[in-house]
Amino acid sequence: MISWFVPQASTFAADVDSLIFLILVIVGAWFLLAEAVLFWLILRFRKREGVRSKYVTGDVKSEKRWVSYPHYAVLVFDVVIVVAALRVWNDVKVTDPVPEETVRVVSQQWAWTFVHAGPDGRLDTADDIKTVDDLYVQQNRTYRFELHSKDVLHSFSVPAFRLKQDAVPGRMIAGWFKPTLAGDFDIQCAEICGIGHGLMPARIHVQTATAHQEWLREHGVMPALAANTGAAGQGGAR
Amino acid sequence: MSVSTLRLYAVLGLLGGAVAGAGCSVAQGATASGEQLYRACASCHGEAGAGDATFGAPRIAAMPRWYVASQLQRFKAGTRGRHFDDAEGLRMRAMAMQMGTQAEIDAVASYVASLPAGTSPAAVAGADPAVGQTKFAVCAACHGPKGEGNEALNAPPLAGMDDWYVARQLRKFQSGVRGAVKDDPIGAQMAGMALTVQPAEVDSVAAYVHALPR
Amino acid sequence: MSHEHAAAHEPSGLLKYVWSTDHKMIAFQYLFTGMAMALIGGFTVYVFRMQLAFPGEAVPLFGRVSASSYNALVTSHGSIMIFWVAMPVLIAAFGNYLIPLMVGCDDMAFPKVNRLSFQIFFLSAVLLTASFFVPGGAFGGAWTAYPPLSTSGVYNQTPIGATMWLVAVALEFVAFLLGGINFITTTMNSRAPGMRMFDIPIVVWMIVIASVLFMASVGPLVAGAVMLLFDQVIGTGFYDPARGGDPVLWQHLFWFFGHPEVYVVLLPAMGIVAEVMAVHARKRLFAYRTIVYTAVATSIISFFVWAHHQFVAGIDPRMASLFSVTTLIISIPVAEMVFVYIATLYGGAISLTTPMLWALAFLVEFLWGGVTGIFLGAAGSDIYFHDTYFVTAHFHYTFFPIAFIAGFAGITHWFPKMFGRMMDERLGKIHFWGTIISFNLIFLPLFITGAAGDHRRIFDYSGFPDLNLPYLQNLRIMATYALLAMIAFQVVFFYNFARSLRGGAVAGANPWKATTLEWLAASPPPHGNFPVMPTVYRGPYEYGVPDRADDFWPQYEPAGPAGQEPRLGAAGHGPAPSGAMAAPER
Repeated sequence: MISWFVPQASTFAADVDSLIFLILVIVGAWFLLAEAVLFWLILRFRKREGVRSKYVTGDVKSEKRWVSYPHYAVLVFDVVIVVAALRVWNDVKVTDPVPEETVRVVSQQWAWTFVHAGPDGRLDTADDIKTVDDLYVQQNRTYRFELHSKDVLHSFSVPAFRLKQDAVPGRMIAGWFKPTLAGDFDIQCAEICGIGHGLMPARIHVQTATAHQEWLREHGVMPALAANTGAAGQGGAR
Repeated sequence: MSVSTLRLYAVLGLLGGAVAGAGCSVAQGATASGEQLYRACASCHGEAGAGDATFGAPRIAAMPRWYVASQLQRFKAGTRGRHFDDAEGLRMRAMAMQMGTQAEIDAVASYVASLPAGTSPAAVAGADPAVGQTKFAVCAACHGPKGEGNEALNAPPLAGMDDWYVARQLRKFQSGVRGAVKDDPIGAQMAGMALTVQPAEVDSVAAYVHALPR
Repeated sequence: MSHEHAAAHEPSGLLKYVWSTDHKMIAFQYLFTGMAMALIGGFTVYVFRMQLAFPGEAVPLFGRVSASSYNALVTSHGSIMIFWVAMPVLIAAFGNYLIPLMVGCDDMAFPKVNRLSFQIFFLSAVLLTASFFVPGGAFGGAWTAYPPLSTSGVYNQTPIGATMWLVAVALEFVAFLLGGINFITTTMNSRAPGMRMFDIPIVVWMIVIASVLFMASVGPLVAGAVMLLFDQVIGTGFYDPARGGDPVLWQHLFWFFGHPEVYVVLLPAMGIVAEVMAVHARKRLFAYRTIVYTAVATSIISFFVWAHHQFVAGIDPRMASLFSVTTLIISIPVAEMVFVYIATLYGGAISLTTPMLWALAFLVEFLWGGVTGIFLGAAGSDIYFHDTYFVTAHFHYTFFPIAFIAGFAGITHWFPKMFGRMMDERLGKIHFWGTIISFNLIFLPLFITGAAGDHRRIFDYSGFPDLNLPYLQNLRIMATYALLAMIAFQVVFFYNFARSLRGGAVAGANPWKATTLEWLAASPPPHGNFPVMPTVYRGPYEYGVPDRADDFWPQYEPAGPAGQEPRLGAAGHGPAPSGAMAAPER
């Protein structure tokens, strides 16, 4: 259902959407039932001339069951929802699949810096590629991300991936994703981070393997050159 | 209860009219005045444009209109303030996004230019303006002997600028945090000139510039 | 009443309003302060919704909205509507007005503490309002004030506003702690002779339970606020990771209070709705004791759900499992409470008066808020919905019914008692339908934008290609127009209110033919409330009792000579009632 609005661009996007749909069906049915009963009672028991209200206390069992049976049913459905929700949660947040590559995501007021591993596939080497506000990843590759913040709380949110994680200064928070759909998607900061909160948009570029290799060749800085320029040239690359 | 139905409908009609009016008058609004646009800047640069070193925001009051407008454009375009080590620049880049059109940039730049000039107290310690003066000869080629600036050379006036800000920008140019973006000849030019100042002399140049009379 | 408190000590003239210790006067002070703050909170939402619909255009009466003023506006809107509107109106105004009248005493147990409570509250409101006008403007770090943004002026650009906001909130808490002491003590110690625990009207129960809940939950936040104040002002590092602090600590302290706070305002609202439904449906509340028990259960469970606000905030992801479970557990007592309310309507004789329309609308709308909360309490789907407009729409479907729908139900229901006049029914219904329809038109579109990933507190979507889409913008514009309509319809309410104060039909003591004690007092009740202190003979909701001429049997009316069981209907003592359907009277 969410996929009507936002494409499913990661492995777990469809799972999150199915969970949302399951909850929608369950609570939707309850909602419609409750509203229907409510409106029916309002219409049925309008004040009529000469008809007195009934004296119903709701303190005896035969009456209470009208409330307690639905109440037990709510409990059952709660269990169903919890089980489904935690399965998805564990998949997205608790499991830790072996990554094929790691990217570092650094948030600050009011920009994102992304550190790509570069051609050698390893972080913290001379061929790392740093970009501001643009993250380049390869389709169907499992990424681990390391999330940092330089100042205040931010939140790394990629709606197309159904992924969201706050960044906390002083901590490194790790997570994972595996993009499945090539294309460009919004990265949003989803935690208020000051007056520029609405002005730090970024994009994630999910590229096919060939396009990503092309991008690496173009932007991977040779170690010698990187030392000379301080890898400064990447700042304006878009 | 005797509210006449007519009066009631008149009240409701007025309410509806007010709602529609408020929506429409906004939907077709013109460019806001420079003073209104400047609210976006005042959080850091202050109501009077005096700047605030704690936010890394320099004094901007009375800076020439052409320079303010060009810097806003550069921030928006990413030729300034898009380096990952430029913390202040990244903040300013986001703020500059609030000026949506060229007309808004021009309006707010005119307002900044119209703010009364002033000078902040010196903030850089251990600087020697005399050393700075000798080094300033290189700068004067573009920025003018009195630091008055030269629009034709894209050189802003420097006289009376915040010393901490001048020093910080010189270091950013030197390290490639500013002015090292592709397709930015002006920035590249300044980055080259900045390298003529020795790291130990940066503060002195800044102090000299700050002491120049406006 | 036991304490020495005489009408003769009451100051005269204008001072009567400032220094009065009369619970009704203090209730009005809270009510009118709350209504004034609602106007400010309404103005802020008008400005920022206009910015969202027409980004970059100058907003009439405000001008162009900058990113910083947008943040200050949303922060103020949230803080004001929760702390300075919902709390004072629902708990303080109705609590102060109703508790002594409904339990049958002449004033609060500690009238001077009561006055102090309002004065501190008023000071906090003034402080908050003043923060708009200091250099840098009002605090813009959201009503949750997460550090490090809230600790440092370098980060938030509003060092003065941030501190004033924090002090104002802390003072507001002090005010409600003082008020809560009064509510609890008065209800426990000053009840009319004969009023047993389960003869207390539900709204009084709800306000008392809410006060206990507030007292028990606010302590950690006050401690947290002091630490935050120290971080801001004297440079400690409680929340600064660079110096061994932890910003997430604040989130725990804040939400340990913040989630019970939802129920602190929900319960009084449910109480008001219960009173209104009983009177206007002429029905005894279905399962009175169950309502009290579910309220207590909800309060207790509400202490164990706070971290569902922090699923993606950097807590250990395994913790989320625990808090998902507790969060869904709390849906059980709340759902049961709603079921009981719906069941109350069965067999009623419902008059769709204005207060009853509000009360029923509360149930209809609150159900929306309740069911959408499940999406957010379930950890897996919260990953997507967290901090989107889906959340915004969800909590407005709970908070708007709480603060405004229940508030209007209470005001229209007790207006005759408060001012001795009836409000105009026709204007009341215009106001009702105008408000309800426009309310839904504001927030139903926001569920859709939230489902499309529209995240909160973004003042301009032009930088987000996936959000800057025409259909989303049209929904935002629709919500803004609906908001303008809703604000416009409030003019009808204020007009009706002002007009009815003098021009309404004279109400008499008991215009609704209700059973609780406040309707025994004159309208408006004089200082001291009752000419003769009442005695209670039965439970609070004896409507439609068979074999009686009237369809209501007030709590204060001695048992008739017809040999009625004197404690008829006191909970648990009632006659086996389901068979005893009232025969239509002819």
